[in-house]
Amino acid sequence: MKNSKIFNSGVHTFFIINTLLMIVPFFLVLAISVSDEGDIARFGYSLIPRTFDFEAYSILFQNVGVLVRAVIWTVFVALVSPLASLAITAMGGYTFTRPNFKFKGVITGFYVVMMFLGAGMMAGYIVNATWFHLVNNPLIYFIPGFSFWNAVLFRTNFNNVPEEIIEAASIDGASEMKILVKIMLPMSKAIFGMLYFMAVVGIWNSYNTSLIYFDEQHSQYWTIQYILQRSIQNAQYLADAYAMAGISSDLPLNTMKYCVCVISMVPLFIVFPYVQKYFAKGMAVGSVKG
Amino acid sequence: MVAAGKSSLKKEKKERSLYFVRNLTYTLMNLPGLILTIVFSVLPLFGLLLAFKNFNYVDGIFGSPWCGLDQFKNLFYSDDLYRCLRNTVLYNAAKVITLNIIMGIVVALLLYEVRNKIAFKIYQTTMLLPSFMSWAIISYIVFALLSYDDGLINQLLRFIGITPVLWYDTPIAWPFIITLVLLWKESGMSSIYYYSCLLSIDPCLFEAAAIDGAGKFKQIWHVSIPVLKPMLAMCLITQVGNILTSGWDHIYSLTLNSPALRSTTDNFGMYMLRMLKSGTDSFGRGTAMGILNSLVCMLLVRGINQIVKKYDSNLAMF
Repeated sequence: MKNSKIFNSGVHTFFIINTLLMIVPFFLVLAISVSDEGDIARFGYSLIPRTFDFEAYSILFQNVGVLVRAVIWTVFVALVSPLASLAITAMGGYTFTRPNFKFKGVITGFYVVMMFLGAGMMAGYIVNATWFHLVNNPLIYFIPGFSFWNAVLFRTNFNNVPEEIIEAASIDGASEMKILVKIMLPMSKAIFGMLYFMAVVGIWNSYNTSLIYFDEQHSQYWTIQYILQRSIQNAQYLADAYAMAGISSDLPLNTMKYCVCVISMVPLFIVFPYVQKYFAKGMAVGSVKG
Repeated sequence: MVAAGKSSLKKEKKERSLYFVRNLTYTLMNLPGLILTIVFSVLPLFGLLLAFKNFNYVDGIFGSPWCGLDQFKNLFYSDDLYRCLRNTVLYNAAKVITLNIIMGIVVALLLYEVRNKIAFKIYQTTMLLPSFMSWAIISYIVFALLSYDDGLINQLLRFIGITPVLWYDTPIAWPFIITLVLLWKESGMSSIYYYSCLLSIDPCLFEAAAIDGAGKFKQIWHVSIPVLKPMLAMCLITQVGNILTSGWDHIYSLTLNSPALRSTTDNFGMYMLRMLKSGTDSFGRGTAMGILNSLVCMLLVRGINQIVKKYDSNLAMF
């Protein structure tokens, strides 16, 4: 009995340390963003700001141009671009559940082969550049794609819908699309929501497309994460961007960088509780099959 | 008799046409996905031709002059290939061992022991938090720790009286830094997979083991670990398969793409990105490196699969 008590308190100690390790770094970013620029130059970064100073935030929000435009553009891309992909994937996933679909095997085989047979970053870029003219073209963000994994997830979920309901609907004269939209999707809202928000988070977090497909002359199409990456790699980047907008006097660049970082985290903190809930649930469902 | 035969014939005809219409609808529903996959995944395969060509935009992919195996020869004679190969294999091995085998399983096993509902919720939620953050955000955290002038770690070193380290100029430290940060970011996500496996265990088994005199560690070893094995095998193989696609954005972010750190942080992805960014002359070399990357990846997947198969043929993927 005593042994298991020691074991239990050991487990809790481990997880309390773990929890602190997971949270404190984000506090650090927040603390730096509200620190005084002079303090950082003198003492370095610190977890607890010596003096609170919101000057960097006020400068960032004074000038709507650079940053706010990037945030709005990224939100737009993140919210809109997964929709078509999910619609296409749901349609495919639905046909995989139909017992009398003749080409099911052929199509599944094709997707499985394509999963292993990738052209890679380089060849993909060259073909997109020479044949499709997608370099410096904002359309690159909105090209939908069929995800076989997601189709399998949809199929597993659609299989839970009783066959009688589908039969009843088709006897009543509902078309296949109508069955999908009016019956299947409402009955698997949870998986749809999870996949949608996972995709939104993924797009919000990625800077690959901006890095690979857009040059400096087309910086209006850069997403927020790429601007973030740019400003930590090149200390002068933010100063230049604000100089172009007419603000150049003595910017607190160090704290401003971390303000941009905090701003880019805010949407994630908003979506996180929602996605996390479905994620834990969805994983439990998916693992039974795997 | 005749009438009955006729009606059944009619019914059969109607059924057949219904079957045809249904299959047509299903095929049409699959069409958008198929077309997109063909255009954006199959057509790019033609881009692989560039590994054997001297590319220029005027002649395009098919028109550019052939150059045989020159690109591959250059790669084999340069250090780049060996550096990329070594780093890719070692980073992934470190990731698999620390993240999947040690951290993921240990955290899942410990999480399974947490009986308090509220504490469980808090632990699990916070564990997942870093995996939802982008690598760019995490590079800010790492910068706040490692920056020479202002970083927390150098402040600590100065406080103790050790000379501070120029971390962004010390290549040897980065394999450890990158692996540690990966571990911090992904351990929550990785443990969830194992945890959901543990949920499928019948609690009676633990009770039976306890009655038979097995302690906590014996119970874990003989009851929990065998359940986790299939998931572990799957994680290993998919992890190795991921070498092909992922594995440069975290390095690009964390090292701030610094050339000073290239000797220990360069890998296939980083190399291809550099070739892609440095103009048309290097496209051929980048594509050749991409092909070598795929070959290495295939060999590794096969190798790991073979090892898993030898160990337990039921766990292998193919």
